[in-house]
Amino acid sequence: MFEIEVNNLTKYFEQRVIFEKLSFLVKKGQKVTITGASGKGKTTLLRMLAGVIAPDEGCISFNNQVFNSQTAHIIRQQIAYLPQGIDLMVSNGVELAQLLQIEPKSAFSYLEKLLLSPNIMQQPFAEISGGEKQRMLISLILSLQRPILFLDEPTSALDKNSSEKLMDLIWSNPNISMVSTSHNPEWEERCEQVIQL
Amino acid sequence: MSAIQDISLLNLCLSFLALLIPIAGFWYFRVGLTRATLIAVARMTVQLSAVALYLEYIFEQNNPYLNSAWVVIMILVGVFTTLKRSNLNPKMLALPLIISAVTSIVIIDAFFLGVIIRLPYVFESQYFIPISGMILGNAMNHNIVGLNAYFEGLTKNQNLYYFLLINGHSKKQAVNPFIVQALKKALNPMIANTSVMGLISLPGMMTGQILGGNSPATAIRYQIMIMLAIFTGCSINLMLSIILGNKTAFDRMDRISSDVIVKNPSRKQKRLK
Repeated sequence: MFEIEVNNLTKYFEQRVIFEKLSFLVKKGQKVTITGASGKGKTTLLRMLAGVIAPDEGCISFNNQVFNSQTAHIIRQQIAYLPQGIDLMVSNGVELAQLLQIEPKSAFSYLEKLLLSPNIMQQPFAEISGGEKQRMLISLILSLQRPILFLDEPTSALDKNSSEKLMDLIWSNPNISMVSTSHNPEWEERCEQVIQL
Repeated sequence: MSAIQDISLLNLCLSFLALLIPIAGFWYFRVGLTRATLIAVARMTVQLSAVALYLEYIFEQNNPYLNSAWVVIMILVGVFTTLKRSNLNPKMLALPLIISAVTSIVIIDAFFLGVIIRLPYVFESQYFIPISGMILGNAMNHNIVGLNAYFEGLTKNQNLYYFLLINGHSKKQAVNPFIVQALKKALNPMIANTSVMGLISLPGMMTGQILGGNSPATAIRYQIMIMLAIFTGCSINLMLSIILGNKTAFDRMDRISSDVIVKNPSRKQKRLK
C-alpha cells in the first residue's frame, strides 16, 4: 500500500499562479479526488504527481521516498494511469494491451465487471463509443495490478450505470490508493478526501 | 568501350533549353513553379561548378587531411540542413547528429573501402570523397524524414508517450512505438527503391561508370556495393541520431523538452503578419 505526500507544490503558467503552496496527504488505500472549474489545473496537478510536469516549487513523495530522477521509474512502476481525452495512436484494445505489455485476457474480468464483452478488444476504436473506449482503457490499466491509481476524469464519458459499476470496482479494493480528477458529484461523495483547486 | 564523349560548354548551355518545355507547362497550368525552378537550376549550376573547382584541386592534392576536411564540411552542411528542414533545435541535436554522421561514415568507409574494395590507401580522394558524399547525401534525405517523423510524432502524440511512461514503461520502451514509425517512414521508400533497382531505375553511379568507359559488369558490382553502403550508412546514421538525440531531447525525469521542435511561424502566418 502506498502513501502519497504533497508538500508546498506551486505551479505558475506564464506568470499566472495555477496553485501555490499546495500540500495534502493521500493515506494508504485512500481514494482522493481533485475538483475545481475547468482550467484550474486539475490535470496539471495529476500529471505533476506522475512526474511528467515539473513543479516550480515543492516536492512529492511516495512512502517517504522523494519523487526525483533517481526514483521516478521505480515509483512509476507502482502507478496505473488513465489519461483524459483518449487518443492513443493505436487502432484497438489488443494493440493497446501489447503496448502496455499485458495479455489482453488479463483485462477480460474487468471488462465484464464494467458491462463490456471481451470481444470489444478487437473492435477498432473508430467503431466504438467514447464510453466503451474509456471502460476498455480502465480495464486495461486495472489489469496492470498497481497499488496506485491516477485517474483523469474517469467517468467523463460514462452513463450513470457504468459509473456506478466503476466506483464499485475501484472501492472494492482497499489496498489501492487513488488520486483522480472529477466533475462527477457521486464520485466526489464516495472519495475520502476532496481537494478543491 | 569507347572513351567518354565530352560535352562542350556551348552544348551544355544549349541543354538548358530543355527547361523551356516544363516551364511552358507551368505557365499553361498556372502552377507558379517557374521562379522556384529557375532559382533551383541557377543554384545547382553555380554550386556544382564551384564544387568541380574544389574537387579538381582536392583530387590533385590527394591529401588525407584535406580529403577528411572536405568530408567533415559535407557532414556539417548535411547536419545543419537536416536540422533546419526538420525544424529541430540545433542547440539540442547538432552534436548527436554530428557524432552519428561521423560514426556511420567511419564504419562504412572502413568496411567498404578498406575491406571490400581493398584500397591500399582508404583516403584516396577518387573513392573516399564520392562514396562518402553519396552516403551523406542519402543519409541527409532519410534523416530529414525520419527525425521529423520521430520528434513531431513524440511532441504531437505526447499522450501516448506519457501514458506508457506513467504506466511504468522505461523511456526506452515508451519511445519505441515512435522509433518504429520513424524508421518505417524513412527507410520504406529506400527498401522499395532497392527492390526495383535495375528494373525501373538505372542508378546514377552505374550510369556514370558506364559513361566513363567501364564495363557494365564492373559498374554493376560497384552499384550493388554502393546500394549496400547507402542502406547500411543511412540506417546506422538515423538509428544513432535517434538514440543519441534521446539523450539530449529529454530531461532527467524523461519529460520531452518543449524546445526540441523549433516553432517557426508558417509561411501563411508570416504572410498574414
